[in-house]
Amino acid sequence: MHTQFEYDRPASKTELFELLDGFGEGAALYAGGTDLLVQIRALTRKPARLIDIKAIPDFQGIHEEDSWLVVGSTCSFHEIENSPCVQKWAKPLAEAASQVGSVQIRLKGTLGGNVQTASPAGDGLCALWGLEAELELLSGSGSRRLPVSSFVKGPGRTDLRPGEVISRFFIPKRDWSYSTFFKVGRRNALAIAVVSGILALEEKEDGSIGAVRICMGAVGPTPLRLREAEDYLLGKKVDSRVASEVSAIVQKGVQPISDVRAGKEYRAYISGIRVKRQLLAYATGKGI
Amino acid sequence: MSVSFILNGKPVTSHAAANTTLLEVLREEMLLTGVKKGCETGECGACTVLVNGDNLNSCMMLIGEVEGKEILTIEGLAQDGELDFIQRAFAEKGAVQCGFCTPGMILSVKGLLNRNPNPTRHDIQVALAGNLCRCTGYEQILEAVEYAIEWRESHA
Amino acid sequence: MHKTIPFRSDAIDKVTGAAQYSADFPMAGILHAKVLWPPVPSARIIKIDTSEAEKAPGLVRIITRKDITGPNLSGMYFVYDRPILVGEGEVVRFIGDALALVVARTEDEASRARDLIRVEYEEIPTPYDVDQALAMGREPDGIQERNKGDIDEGFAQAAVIQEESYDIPYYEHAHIEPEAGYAYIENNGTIAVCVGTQDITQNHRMACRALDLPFSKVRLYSPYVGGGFGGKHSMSIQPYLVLMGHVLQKPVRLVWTREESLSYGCKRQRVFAKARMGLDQEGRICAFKVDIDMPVGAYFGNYEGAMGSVIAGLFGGYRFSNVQVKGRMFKTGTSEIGSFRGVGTPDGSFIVETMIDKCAHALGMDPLTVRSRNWMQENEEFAGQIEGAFSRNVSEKWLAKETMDAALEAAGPLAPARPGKKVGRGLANAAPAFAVGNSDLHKGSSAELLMFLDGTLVVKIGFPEIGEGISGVATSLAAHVMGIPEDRVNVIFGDSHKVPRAGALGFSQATVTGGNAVLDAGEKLKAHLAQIAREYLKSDDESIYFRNHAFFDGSGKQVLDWDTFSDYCYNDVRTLSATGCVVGPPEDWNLYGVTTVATVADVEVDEETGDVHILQLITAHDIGKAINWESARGQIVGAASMSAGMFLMEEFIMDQGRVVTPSFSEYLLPTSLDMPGKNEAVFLEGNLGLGCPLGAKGVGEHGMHGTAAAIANAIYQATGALHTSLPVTPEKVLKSLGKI
Repeated sequence: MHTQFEYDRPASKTELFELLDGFGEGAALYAGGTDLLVQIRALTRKPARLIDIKAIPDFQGIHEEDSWLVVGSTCSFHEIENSPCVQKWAKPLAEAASQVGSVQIRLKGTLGGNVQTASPAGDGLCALWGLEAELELLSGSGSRRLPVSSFVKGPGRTDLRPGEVISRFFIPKRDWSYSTFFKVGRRNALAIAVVSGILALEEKEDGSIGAVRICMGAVGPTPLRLREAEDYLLGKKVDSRVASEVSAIVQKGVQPISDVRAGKEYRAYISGIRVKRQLLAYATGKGI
Repeated sequence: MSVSFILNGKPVTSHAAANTTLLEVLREEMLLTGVKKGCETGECGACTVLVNGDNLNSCMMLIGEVEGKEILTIEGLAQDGELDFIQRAFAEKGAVQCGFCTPGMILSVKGLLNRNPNPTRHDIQVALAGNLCRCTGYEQILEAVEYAIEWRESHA
Repeated sequence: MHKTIPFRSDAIDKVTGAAQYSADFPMAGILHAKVLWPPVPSARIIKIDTSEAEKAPGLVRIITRKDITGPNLSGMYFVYDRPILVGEGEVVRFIGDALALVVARTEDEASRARDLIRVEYEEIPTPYDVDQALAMGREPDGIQERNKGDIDEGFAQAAVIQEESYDIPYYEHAHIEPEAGYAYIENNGTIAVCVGTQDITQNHRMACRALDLPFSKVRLYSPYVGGGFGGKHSMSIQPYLVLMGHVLQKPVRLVWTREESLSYGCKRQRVFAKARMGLDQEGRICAFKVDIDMPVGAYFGNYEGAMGSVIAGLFGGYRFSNVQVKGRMFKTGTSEIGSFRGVGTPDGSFIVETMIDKCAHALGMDPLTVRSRNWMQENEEFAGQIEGAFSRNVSEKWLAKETMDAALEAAGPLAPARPGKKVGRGLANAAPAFAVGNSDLHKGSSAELLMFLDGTLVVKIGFPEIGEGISGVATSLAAHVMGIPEDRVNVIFGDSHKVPRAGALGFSQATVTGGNAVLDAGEKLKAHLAQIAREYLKSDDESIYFRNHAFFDGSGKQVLDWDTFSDYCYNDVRTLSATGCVVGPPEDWNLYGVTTVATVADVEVDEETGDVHILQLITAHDIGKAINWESARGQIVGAASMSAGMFLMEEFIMDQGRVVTPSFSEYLLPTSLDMPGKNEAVFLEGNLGLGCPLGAKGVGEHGMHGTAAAIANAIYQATGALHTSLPVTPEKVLKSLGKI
């Protein structure tokens, strides 16, 4: 490769922090590499050292705690897609994982990498954002935990401080009545989202909506919660009129730009339509 | 670096620099040119190899990640001069035109069957969506895979 | 035909990884090169400062214009106007005009050294599209016209007249193997170049002339090629390799990255057109007027050929009385126009087939009925139809109706629409041309059959195997003509020094002219063998013939066994070979063959999301004879899916001469999840191609011709919107429906 760099593979957090503190800004954290290697090849990043964190046990694995689903930052999309507890407690995240790139990319790319890349179109990122997930950052001097939506600041920008690494994600366990991830791309695989989104609904006993998440990707500098649309839905029963109204609110609430993949009018329009379709799928699934 | 791994069933050691991809090691150091370079961005799948049974883009893997792993390339499929059943199906069913995508495609089929020995046509399409083919339109490739699975079942 | 091997002869190499492509030949100590591209698309180069780069680790040599002593002009077929390297004081006319070749011990070192070269330049204003050319007061650099009858009179007779504008983008061949090759020195200073190409003869001539090197001292040959689709005729790396071999006198390899292949290789023609068509009350085409504009890049490439073939495609297989076509070509600071599978004919088909549907709709007549009222029926109408038309029917019948019937029968009824969706069916006819050995660049393609003393055979054929299947065709035809099993036949491909010459690979040349050459060589070889047998037997019995490993007389009695014959040849040092070549009759010169293709496309459109899904794509083809059915099917199905991908998602974009879509993230090829629900080829056999090997007519390009139009016509039926600006994305569908 054009850019020369060294490579380490620490076996523990302690080793990792020694390396990070020793090499400072010249070192880059390396997980799946499916974003970072592309950037290094394109010369947009030129690290002197890659520190491969995949061997560190603390960043691996998926398990449940009382209130949280805990996903290690170096879990691959393939692992996440096929995990029974992700499918149960964070179905949009499993679905998002299943639609990343291709099988080859899913077997290698990690959730931590997806969040750190902080693309507005990040599939895993959108799901985490909408599910109000948190992440834990570790460093040689301690740890901190914050919402994913506070960590990612803008396209390609996060709050990762020198010496820090994303260790785990915490997704609130919630028994949603209906939850899903959807993605619109220029083709059916190997596609960067033109628009993506999650919809999660909790239905009350009377059939009206008690809680809702609508979070859209690729229509703003970061994933976007459509709070006005969410507020509108609360307390209502979903039917085609309600779904159409939500669609219109979403279309006005997103902030897309035009680029080589799609125009902003299309992105705004299709955002609303896809949310509407998911609401109708939920409603007809219940026989409404 | 000095990285030891199992390549097509045999132990080998690579002395490539840390910034060398597995693709470059396989082609330039190990002289396995059956592994193809199509894009180097993980977008075409021509460089697909099996790593511990998983089909990955070797262009998206650094040599340091390969320590202790088992790598299978297209050259390692045929046993004692006998074609593997997937290779034979591809050859018989017109699934090969220019052949450049073929090694990666066959290994993605192998990766799929490692995970799911009985895939539907849709499962096969999903599994091969990371391997671009410009020649065939995928039709004869899908038929070859289905034929291979049938053949294996009838010869089990 | 006697098939003894279950697979095509190149298939084993390819499924085992043994097949070597041009980047796959390890050679100890080989050097590596990187190309220095210009910083801007249009400029005078003032200085190329290599002083820092010369000191880079591993750097061996930087080759510039100063190292070229010949005319330094290369090109595609006949016009050599493109510099191989642009030097100080000279002009860069598009982003692919290379400035230097940087050679180092490793590829990475070449890349790093390249970064250290400083280029000073002065930008030169140039147009980057047709509008800019017109605004800058440019006159067209080329005009092609076709006229027949009286266009105004024609429109005066029309019961309906319809107009449309067309916008077809640049497309990229996107062969999965990027351009690659290597050069080294053989005996006596001969520069040997191994490069994946579609045309050894042309590349050889072009590189040697440009560099003023004796043809006999430059050997060009092709290994397996990972796809071409027309993208590997034009100048790309071939002259760089020859130049480097010459200057370095050491082995050197050059492999383009995908970004280089996408950005600097030739492209398919960009077409803007306005069409106007009139139908009379009976649905007959009474007038057809088309104006075409193309931005054609800075060099000749194949742009005249592209325009000519767009125009040829307009006439399809129909009868025209009044025609006025004018095509203007404007030079621009953009990609060189090469050949892309089918060249311009599919675009011409796209225009005429959609105009027919639009007019049919206006007239209230079924589009199939309109087509049938206009199909040519007579054999001779093509060449005589329109002055400048360059193709003729090479078979007894013209099966326009039959191919359409076959496609419709295979399609069955249009599926009913699922809730919330619309469905539509579209048809298209086309009359794709293919080479029959009568046209420039195709006439003299020859093949040699060389038999060894054990009776096994090598076919030496000047075409490379790029996936088109010449390995199989050459094997099958050689086995057939000699009467021996296929597993006793081996094939060797294009080599300027060791294999007889072939023309450009495309237009089904390999199967048709190559195939004819093999059959001709076979007849000559059999005659030669029989002559030697007569010599040995001291007989003048003219009925003695060779068949599969022995010699017989007219009554069928064996007169000589192989082993005896072989010993005689060994002692006498006899060469058992013959070269074949079949050229068509002079009255046919510069004509191509045509055959008919019919496509039926069924689509499902979601009018709320704009998504278009192709339910099925059926292509029926009057093939004459399918020599290798799986291969022929693969060509049609492959071309149909390529066309579908181009229709729905592919687009190569340049902005002010710079490439906006340089990687596979932006230039999107269809994946296995993007295919039509059903993609089928139906072959009509029996209407043999006269002068074609075993009657086999062309097939390689023929899936390209009707596909886009059939899909567009299907969407038109489903939604009422006719899409003539490609690719047709969901966004465009929604715009056409007024949703955004």
